[in-house]
Amino acid sequence: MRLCRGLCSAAALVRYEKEERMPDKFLADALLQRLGLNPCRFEFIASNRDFFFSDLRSRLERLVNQKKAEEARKLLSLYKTKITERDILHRQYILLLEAILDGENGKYKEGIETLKEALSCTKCDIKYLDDREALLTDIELRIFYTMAKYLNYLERMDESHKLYENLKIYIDTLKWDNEKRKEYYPHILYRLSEHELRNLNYGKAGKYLDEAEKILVENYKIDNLYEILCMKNTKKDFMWALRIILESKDGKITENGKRIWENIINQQSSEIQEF
Amino acid sequence: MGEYNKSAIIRDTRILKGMTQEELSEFICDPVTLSRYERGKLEPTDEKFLLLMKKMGESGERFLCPVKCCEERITKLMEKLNGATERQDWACVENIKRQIELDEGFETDNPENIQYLKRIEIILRYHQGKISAESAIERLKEIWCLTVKGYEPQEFPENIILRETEVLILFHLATFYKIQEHYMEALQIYEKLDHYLDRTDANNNMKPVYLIYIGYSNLLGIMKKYEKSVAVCFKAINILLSNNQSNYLYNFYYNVAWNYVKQNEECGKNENYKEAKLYAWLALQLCRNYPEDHENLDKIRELYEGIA
Repeated sequence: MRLCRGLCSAAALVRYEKEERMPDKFLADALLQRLGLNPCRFEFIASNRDFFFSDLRSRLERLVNQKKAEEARKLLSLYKTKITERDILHRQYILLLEAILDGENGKYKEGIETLKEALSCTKCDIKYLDDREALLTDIELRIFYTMAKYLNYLERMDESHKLYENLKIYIDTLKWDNEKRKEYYPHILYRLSEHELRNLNYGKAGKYLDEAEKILVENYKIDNLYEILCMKNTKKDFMWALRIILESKDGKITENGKRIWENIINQQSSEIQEF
Repeated sequence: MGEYNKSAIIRDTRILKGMTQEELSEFICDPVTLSRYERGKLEPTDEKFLLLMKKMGESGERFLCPVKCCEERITKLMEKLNGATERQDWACVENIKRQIELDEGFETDNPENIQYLKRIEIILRYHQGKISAESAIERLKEIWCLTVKGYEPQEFPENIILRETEVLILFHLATFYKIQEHYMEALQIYEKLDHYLDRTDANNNMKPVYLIYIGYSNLLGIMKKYEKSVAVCFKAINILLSNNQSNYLYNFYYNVAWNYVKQNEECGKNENYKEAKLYAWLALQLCRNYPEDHENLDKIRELYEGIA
């Protein structure tokens, strides 16, 4: 029942397992993800409909990454016209993206409500992760992760911290493919370290920060690395380089970035002169 | 998931085989029905699909596995192989390649697999000094044709979707053309790839994408097209940052600095020269702190310190 919760009935799952019926690609993916397996390791014949939605999702992810909110919203509107009431996984995905776009505009409160609605599509709620035997699809995991972020931005720290802790436990105890760990773990550790610092647990905070930095650097990631180095108050040149890079627009360094650079150079020159 | 859309498989295979709809559909279905299959308006049954594929000389069964596991073992070996190739650890490459070839899970009659292994073999033999760049080019063109029939690499049609191996073949071809100083041939490939990667349905998250943009910007720099080279770098940096990736990021910042310096030396333009030092400094910080090839640190430092 945990496996098929909100996705299909137990009877349907039995039919899939006996190859009496074929799930669609999205349902098959969701079931595999809950089992801790990476669907990319499997081959599947997609129907034209599945293929259309896969392509739509790829385009949406690109637009969201490129922060093209208006185009993304237009595509989401198209997506909505193509699904029926029974397409719960598609509806859930649409709600997730709407919440993400809300967040881009700072509408975190609205975003959280949308994310709760998204969770309800697969009979899930915010307390679900309290259960140490929870099984999640990738989209559900992303919903919880986004919710934790928004709670943090709204300074609902207790709720945010609880969610981050549960997410860490989930990632630690289940069999994960490395992609998920790389994607979510550093940010989770970063937020947990903030909590520990607030409670003056410097040792634990330092441990989280070290691990987060290690994962980010080993995997050539950049998100939160600047903040982590700030908190560790270490590798100052690298920290400033990241700050300048993160402020860039369309790949080019901004005027503010150049000013930061000039300050660094001036500071280094005056330190040398003092010496 | 590896996704195969039946209509695209039928249509693309028929086109690659050079068959008309009438020829393919004969004795199986009528041409109008085939057209509807190809346009996705009608779903062929498994039986019809197999018959059509068999007529085109493809087994079809390969596409009809509801959920068939790719050998996890082989996939992991391939990932290790890609890593070793990137590090240019040729002894390791040779070792892993042999393991893959001998693994019973690896289908050696599959054209995609043959292409994959032969690509590795060509690169390995070149770096071992066993074949020349010219010979590597000829062999790469041969293996390109295993899966993309009827088109020269520089002229691949815009409506096909390329697999990672095919993209890498094009990248290697461009690299070898550059080694041979056939810059226009190399440029032609990079321009086509750049155009292809702009497509919304192209997978531009794969690692070869960054290799392509580095190669492209390097080539443009050699050809003294400094502004275009810088533009390619900014494009690649933007893609990397929006995907939260920093692989090869230092390389692009280095190239920007290098191009600005060269531009100043040769054309006397110094409006960007002031920024060259900043970009070189960024390259230095990234190369120093990420697990990059630290042999490049000296090169970056030299550029940085050489900028007044």
